[in-house]
Amino acid sequence: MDGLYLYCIREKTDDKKAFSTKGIDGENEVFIFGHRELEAVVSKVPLEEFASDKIQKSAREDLNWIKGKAVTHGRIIDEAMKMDDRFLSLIPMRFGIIFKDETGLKTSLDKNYPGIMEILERIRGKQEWGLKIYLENKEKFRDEIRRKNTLIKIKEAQISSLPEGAAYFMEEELEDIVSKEMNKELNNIAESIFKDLKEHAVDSVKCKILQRELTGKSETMVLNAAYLVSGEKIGDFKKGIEDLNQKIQMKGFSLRYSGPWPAYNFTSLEI
Amino acid sequence: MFIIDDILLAPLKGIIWIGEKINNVIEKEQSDEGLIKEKLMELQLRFELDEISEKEYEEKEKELLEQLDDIRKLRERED
Repeated sequence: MDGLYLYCIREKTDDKKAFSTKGIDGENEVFIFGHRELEAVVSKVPLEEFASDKIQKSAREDLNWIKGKAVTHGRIIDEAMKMDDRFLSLIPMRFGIIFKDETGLKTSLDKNYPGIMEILERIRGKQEWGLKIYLENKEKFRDEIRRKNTLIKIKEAQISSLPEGAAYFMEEELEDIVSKEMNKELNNIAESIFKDLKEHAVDSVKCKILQRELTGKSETMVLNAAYLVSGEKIGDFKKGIEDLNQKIQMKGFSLRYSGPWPAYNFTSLEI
Repeated sequence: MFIIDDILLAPLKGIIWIGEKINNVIEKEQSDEGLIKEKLMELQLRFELDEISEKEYEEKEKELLEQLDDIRKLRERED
């Protein structure tokens, strides 16, 4: 028996374009399941296979298995978002939601109808854009802090007047202060960048800062944010980012932005 | 200079980029360090798939980063 795997929910489009990515099982086609004013993007999955211990085990333990499935899941949502030259607003679903049959899917869509319509209403005509700020030149930034921070200057003056032995311990203390002041300043800068761009967006959210081990970059991530931007404001938003980029590059930071994405960070729907 | 098509730029809850990143790490290193990085990736993935809460994520991440730190210190001493 076949179940239905759900990728995302969007407003009715009557779009007849076929999906080029095969479903999560690697075989079945992705198709549109229309219900009321909604379209659910789904594909059939053999229930026996997906309920089997083997799959459950893979989903829990086999990183490569999850990896492949997660990429497929994301790719299909991406395809569902892009329609000719437009971007459709949709609610991306979390990974791994399977319905036993069409009735199950319909019941769930009915049950969640008001909530779904409300989210779709909120994100209609809007796009998610991501922004990541990295500290590119840590030394330059550190020097700047040392040069400008009053507290650090006072400490330095004290140290220079001390005998060598005592100065050694003060040096350690100073290092501590420098790194604390650096963190403080980094937070301030990240916060002000985050706020600056907010004015072009309808909604914004700070995401988790990713460790260097995850980003694979030597630079430190100082801000990871997502913005929900109205279609007509995209130009202003990008202009805002470019102005900002010029400003922060001089201070030793670099900036990456990307989009449009499905509104991953602005559409949480428990189904 | 903006690079828009960097896979890393995908939104945190986007679950798209992580797959590719995992592959890179696994293929490149199979050392202790690689293993921990792999665990970090897995943790990230679980978080993105909403399997664990942010609190759990942060606790486990801290643990793994400490382990990574220990391995690096040990290696410095050996060198």
